[in-house]
Amino acid sequence: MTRLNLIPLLYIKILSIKNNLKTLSKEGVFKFSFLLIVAFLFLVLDYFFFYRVIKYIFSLEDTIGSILILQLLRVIFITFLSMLFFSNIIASLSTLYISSDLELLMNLPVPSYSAFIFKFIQTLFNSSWMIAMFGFPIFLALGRIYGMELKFYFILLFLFIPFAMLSANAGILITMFLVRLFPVRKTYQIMTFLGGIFAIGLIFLIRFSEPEKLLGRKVTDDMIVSFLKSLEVPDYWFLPSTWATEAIRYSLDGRYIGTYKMLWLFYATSIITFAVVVFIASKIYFHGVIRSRESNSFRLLPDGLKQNGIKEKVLRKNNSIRGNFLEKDIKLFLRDPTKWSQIFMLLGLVVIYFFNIYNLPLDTFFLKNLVSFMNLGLAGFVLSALAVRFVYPAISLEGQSMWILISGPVDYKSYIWGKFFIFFVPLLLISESLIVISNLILEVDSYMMLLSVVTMFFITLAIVGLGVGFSAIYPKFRFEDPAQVSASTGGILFMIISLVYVGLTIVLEAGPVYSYFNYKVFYRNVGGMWVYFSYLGIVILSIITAYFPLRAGMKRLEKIEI
Amino acid sequence: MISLDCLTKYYGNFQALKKITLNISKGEFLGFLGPNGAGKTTTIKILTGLAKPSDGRVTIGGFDVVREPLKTKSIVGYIPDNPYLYEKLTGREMLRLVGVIYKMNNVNIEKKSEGFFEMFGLSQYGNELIESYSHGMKQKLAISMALIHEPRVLVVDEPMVGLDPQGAKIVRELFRGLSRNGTTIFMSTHIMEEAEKLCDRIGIIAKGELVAGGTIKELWEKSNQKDGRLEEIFLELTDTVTS
Repeated sequence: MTRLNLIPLLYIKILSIKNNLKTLSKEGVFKFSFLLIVAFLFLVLDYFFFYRVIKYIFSLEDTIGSILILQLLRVIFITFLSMLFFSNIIASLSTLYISSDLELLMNLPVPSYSAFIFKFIQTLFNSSWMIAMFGFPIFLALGRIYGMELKFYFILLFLFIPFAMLSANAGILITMFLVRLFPVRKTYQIMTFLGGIFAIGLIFLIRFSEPEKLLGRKVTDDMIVSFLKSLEVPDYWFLPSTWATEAIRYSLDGRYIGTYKMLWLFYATSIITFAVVVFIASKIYFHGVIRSRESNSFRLLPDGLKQNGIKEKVLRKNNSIRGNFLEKDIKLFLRDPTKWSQIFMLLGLVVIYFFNIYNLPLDTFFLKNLVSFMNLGLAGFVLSALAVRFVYPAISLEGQSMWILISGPVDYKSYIWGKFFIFFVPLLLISESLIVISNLILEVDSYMMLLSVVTMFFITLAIVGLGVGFSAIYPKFRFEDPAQVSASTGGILFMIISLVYVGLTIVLEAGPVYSYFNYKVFYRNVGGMWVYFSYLGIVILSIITAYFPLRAGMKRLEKIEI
Repeated sequence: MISLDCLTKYYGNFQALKKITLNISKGEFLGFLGPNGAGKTTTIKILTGLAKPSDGRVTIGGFDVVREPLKTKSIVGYIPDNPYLYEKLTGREMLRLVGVIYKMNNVNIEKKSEGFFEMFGLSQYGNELIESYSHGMKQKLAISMALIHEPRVLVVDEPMVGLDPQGAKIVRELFRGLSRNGTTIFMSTHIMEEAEKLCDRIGIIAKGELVAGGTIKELWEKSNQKDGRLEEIFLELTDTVTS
């Protein structure tokens, strides 16, 4: 009965994917190919990194080698398990309770458990494909180094299915109970926030364990042992990550009977827990969906956001359209934790950025100042990445409410400049902090400090201008997730142009910096008028990069139809 | 007050509007009727600046909608059929933002907002986030947004969708009062009774062409339904075009 009803549901999904591919525009093909290339490069890098690490471990003494491989597998599986667990909670909140096709699904004459299983499969796929993709090169490297036969890779595939399913069972079960207790959207926002904290914690863990030490030439066995010991992870017998580690260990040792036993354990547990989850879902899932559709309970705003807040009073003095748009954007941002939780992620990455600079083994004037100069390029790249996530979607984020602005007497020039300043000020603060703090850590001289600060000002101006301009040129008002806007063709094009701009700026500034280093290190004067022309070139390039997209954006808005 | 002169609109090769010519005087209440896909929404979008004409000219209050968009928009109020609003703003904040866009002063915005909240029974929900409003409440808020700056022209797309009977009654009376006081109203609707009761004149569009226009009496004369209801006249006139 279930199977009969499940097939048409899955068929709907397959048909939509097929139709999407069939009607792919030129823009879509470009985007798809670009993402495919990026993904492929990432997988190649992933493979070579782990190949090198595993090969090194493999070359060690037998006992140390096998202990370390075991430790590495434990770390990998526990990381995958926790990532799968979190992403299943977040994905299931969206697919099981928020998704737009739910109303149609609920009205179809299919048993409730069919609809649930359909959504379960969707969640399982959405939350685990990326981990499967990331994990594949790791185990390919492991298999190649250990000279494993084809059987090993089939075992991996059959291992991953129940491994992912167990995480989905646990994640979805927790989601169903959470939705019984709290409003769906609030839960989604909190879980996305916790997911962000978890991700940044993971990045900290990896970065502060200083894995680069293992890539040097003079790596002692003690260093490797102490590194892997520092990655101590729980290996309780009841954790699926422990079972997976054991299954792989048996295979590597050639004791396949042990592996099959672990597989049997995996399948038995995942099927039994799945049956339990389906049973519980039949009791509470539909009630939860209905409740989530009815959760129109009124909420008073926190005191700070009410009409009499201090911020309101300050902003209200200014009755300008620009001031009020600023107020609106700040409110929309602060009241949606899924948006501001990314700030924590950003702060975490900034800490790692400084940690990287601090850890560089630099001792001469030349090296320190050279790194400071190269750091401009790196900060420019960070700024571009931030801009594609926050600035580029600026106008698209008006969403379907854009009709309010277009049908009103809004001067687009003022609107666009308003958007520009909303982003320019905070991004300038971030980019200049990156540069000034890095330069202080590097102890550069006053010339390099001044040069970096002024250059960063122009880089920020150009990238924010480019971002806001592109935001208006390629608006995408219909989206389910703001991340879709950043990943659109316009977003990719913005990223490419902004990186080319950063590259050109560095090239233009290389001349004056070369002349300065010659003067300071070799007491040679190789400068001349061209140095000033280079500086002028950067100013002109930055203004052009900001101005023309902004102007094109304004023109585009004047002609926009929604 | 509103003048459409040979208004034409293409979407790619598809001609959505075919040389529509229509004049609406000050204070007149026009009902714009037509089957699905006839071009009603396209016409409304052009009147409100959400779409641009491919050919022809549209003026509102003497201002050209393409050449003087800001002047046109400042005298027009628009009520869409499906009001997408900023879900994370409160009702009061939304009205305030719109008031500022129309360059109203703070005192006037507050006074007008409270008036609308009271009229629509939304006073206690004014400080709630819009995301918690029902469709009907959003529609009432959208009507308040369109009227807060006292527009000379009101463009309305299916205004009664989602409104409860009390709300619909309030809106009907509100529109009648506005029309009496000189506001020109351009209303698209599918509800024939609504158009019959409220409008001074009816325009019927089918397949992008204006197939008939005039008072109910004039439409009777044009059709074979000498004493029929508007619904029969509408079906007869649109059938001729669509068949």
